[in-house]
Amino acid sequence: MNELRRNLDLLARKGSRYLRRFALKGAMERAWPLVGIVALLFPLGYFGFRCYEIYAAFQTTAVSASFSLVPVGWGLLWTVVIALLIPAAFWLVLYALDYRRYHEAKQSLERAWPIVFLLAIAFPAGYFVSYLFANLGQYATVSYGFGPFLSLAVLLAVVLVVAIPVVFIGLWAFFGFSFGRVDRQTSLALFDRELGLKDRLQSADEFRLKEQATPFEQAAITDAMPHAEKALETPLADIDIAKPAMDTIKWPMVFAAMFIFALGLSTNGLQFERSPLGVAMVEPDHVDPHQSEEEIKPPVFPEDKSTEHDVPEPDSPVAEEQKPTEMKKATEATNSESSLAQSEEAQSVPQQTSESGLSASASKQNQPGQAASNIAGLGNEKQQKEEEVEPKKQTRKNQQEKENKSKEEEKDDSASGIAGGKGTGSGRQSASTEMLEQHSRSREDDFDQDVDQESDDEEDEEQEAASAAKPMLNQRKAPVDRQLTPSGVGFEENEEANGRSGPGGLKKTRGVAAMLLGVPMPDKLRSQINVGRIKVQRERSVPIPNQVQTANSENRGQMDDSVGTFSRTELKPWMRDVAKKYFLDLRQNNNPDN
Amino acid sequence: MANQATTQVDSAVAAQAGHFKQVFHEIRAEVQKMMVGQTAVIDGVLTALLAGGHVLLEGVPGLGKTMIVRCLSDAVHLHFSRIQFTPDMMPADIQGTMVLTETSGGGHELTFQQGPLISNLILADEINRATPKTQSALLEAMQEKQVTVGSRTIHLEEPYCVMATQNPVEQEGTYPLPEAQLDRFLFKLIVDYPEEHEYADIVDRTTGSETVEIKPITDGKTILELREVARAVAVPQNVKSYAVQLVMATQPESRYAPESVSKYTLLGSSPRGVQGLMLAGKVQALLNDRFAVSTDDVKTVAHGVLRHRLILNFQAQATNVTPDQLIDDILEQVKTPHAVD
Repeated sequence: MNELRRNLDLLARKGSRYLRRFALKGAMERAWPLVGIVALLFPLGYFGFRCYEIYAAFQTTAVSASFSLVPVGWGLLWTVVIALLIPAAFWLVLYALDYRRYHEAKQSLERAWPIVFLLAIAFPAGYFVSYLFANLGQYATVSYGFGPFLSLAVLLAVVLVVAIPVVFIGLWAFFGFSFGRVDRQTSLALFDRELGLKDRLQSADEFRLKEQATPFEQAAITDAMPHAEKALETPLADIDIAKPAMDTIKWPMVFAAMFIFALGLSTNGLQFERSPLGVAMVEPDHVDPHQSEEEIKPPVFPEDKSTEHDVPEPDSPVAEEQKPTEMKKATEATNSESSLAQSEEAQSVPQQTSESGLSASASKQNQPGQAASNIAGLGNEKQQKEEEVEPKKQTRKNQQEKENKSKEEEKDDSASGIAGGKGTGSGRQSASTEMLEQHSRSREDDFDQDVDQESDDEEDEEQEAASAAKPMLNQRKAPVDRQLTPSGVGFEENEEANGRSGPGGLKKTRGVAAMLLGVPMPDKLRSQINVGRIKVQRERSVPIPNQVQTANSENRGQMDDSVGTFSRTELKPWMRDVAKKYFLDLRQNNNPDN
Repeated sequence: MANQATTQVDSAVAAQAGHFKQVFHEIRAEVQKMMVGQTAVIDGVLTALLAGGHVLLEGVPGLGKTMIVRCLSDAVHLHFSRIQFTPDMMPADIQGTMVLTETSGGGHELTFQQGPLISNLILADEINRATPKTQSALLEAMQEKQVTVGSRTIHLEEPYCVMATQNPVEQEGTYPLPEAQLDRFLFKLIVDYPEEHEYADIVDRTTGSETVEIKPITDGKTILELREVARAVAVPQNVKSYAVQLVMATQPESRYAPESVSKYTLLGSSPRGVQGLMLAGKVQALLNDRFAVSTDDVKTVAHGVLRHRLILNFQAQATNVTPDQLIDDILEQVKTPHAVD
């Protein structure tokens, strides 16, 4: 017994030493799910970061956004490369290890190291080269998907994603080989398997520890003794170990990572544009803290100044009207000096600023107020330009008024086709024609003046739209003869049509539609009109009597056949008794003898 | 002193195990005088007999299912009873019933006329032709080894073994065995067509003038002793764990169940499956000159023990998935404890 015990101990030690060399396989099996998880965590973080950037950009400067497919294409390309690289790197390491000899941990890691090293330096090197290209002037417009789309931090994270599993495997294999312990039963199972002992050693080791072994258990121990001695003498050859069971990889996680990463990169296609009104808000620092809540006004936009002066609200007092202006001036005074230089820079590269959400990034880079001051600076500059352009604008306005007057004289009333009709009510029509003329005129102007004029035109337009009188319903004309035909067949314009409900060629507009667009639009839709509800026609029908030949019962003759049996209802016993008694009494009463 | 005692115990156990193996092989050789081929089926039937279980033989007609059981009954010298199941058979036909008999004094009395179920070795031929009512009459006899008719309970004499046959092809007029009855069979053995070289022997033995006589090798008492020997075989913990995991893997909701089992199985094995694996594994260990069951023994008997305990769903039947395929999958997926893979 003691001999068996000693032999089994030796075998367990020998097997444990041998099996510890499989630590690398275990490490790979444990690291494989980690690859999927890490691959998912990184895109999630990146996506969240992008969402925050977009939110910050909207909060700071941008109010409108456009979408470009070019950076999205780059983003998708890098997504595929990165997302496939993570498991691919792992598989490269796996095959570098020569999966038949996992137990040779040290040699395997030495063989795998060059590949890991190459992977580790590939991304930084690629980024460096592309960075050089991007900054070489003539190639500056080529972004290669880097720059704002993939920063150095992002690339570093990708490298770490590749490196983490590899480092994990290496550490696990090292510590597993150095300090790991293998279960005694597992060690003995190794010899059972290799020598075909059918679990004899495992069984004997288990039964040996029992205090009262059954005869068969005792026999099993005795049976294992010669096999244990034989196993001690047998050298363990290189055992073919199956490939690491890495079926637990969550491939859906990898694809989910690709999707999320692509989603995050696709947000690079968003190009933010600054509001035409500007959003430079009055900072709360400039508001007198002693002011009551009623006195504190909402944020004031610099561009609203002209509008407010041109069209004063009849009910609002002047004192209240001037307060925001004073506050705005105070704000401009504090900001103009500090932000003038920056605003000029921002003006010089407006496209870059709008594309990458500069103000958002600026505010993020410990430059508080820079984004706001940019806008404020733009507002100041715009005011200076306003004063320069003022005479030009005045002369052009006079010209437009003259032209409008001459046009009004020349035009027929019916050709207007605007809900406003004629007279002062045709302000919207005149405004629309003005827009068209201004647009055609602005094309002829020089490019330098174009930007200023557009902004001025917008202001004029707003002023005119605000001052335009409402259509006066009591001055409208009666509708002309309609002559409407279904599906537009035989459509002929009435010369006297004034745009009201007749076939005047111009769609009549009223209400909200008139406020949306000042350009008359002919109705181009020609289709079958709706047939409407099905009409139910009721008719009254007169009943028609059927012709029937009558026959007398006398002419039918006698019936020859038997009538048949008549069904008799089954009487209940008490009914039968009653009937029986009745007839017996009747018979007795009729009998003269009784 | 202790070593001497140990040696004596070992020699006694070794003698018992040797006797077990010897009897097993002698019975097999005797049956094989008549039966050509079908070694796995004969081994399975003998294993069930020595493990104290019942056997369900499934195969097309003409493969010698009935002959195996008849030869076995001759070889073990047990009281043999054959029941040909038909659709109009009633439980009283197999269990027995009270009949009116005439007494010696000219009077009449009700006496119990026992049915064919009361015997040692029962051949339930084409069991699936009987109605479930009649099939259910076997439940008590197979599990509790007793028959209850009215107020009378008859304990059946050991060894008691039911060997049923059924035809998998003919579905017309047959009644599938209920799960409760299927679970009571230790083995379900598939009787397949003989090999090509076996046909010549079959022709010689069955159409020649020589008559094959089956000699009795053992008797009921020896069979019971051998059953005791088989039950004494040791079972290590890792084998128990492995058998339990195998049985749990047949249950679709179990964590050991492979994907195929979860997909195609309606009902898995009951704890009777583990009992069957252990008992049959012990017989296998004795036949392989060992005193403890190994995981390989469990693997060997897994198909016979588990195939009729897997109730497949409609999807499996529609895609021609068999229980044997699922058991193969289970054996591949469930690793033995302390496996070095």
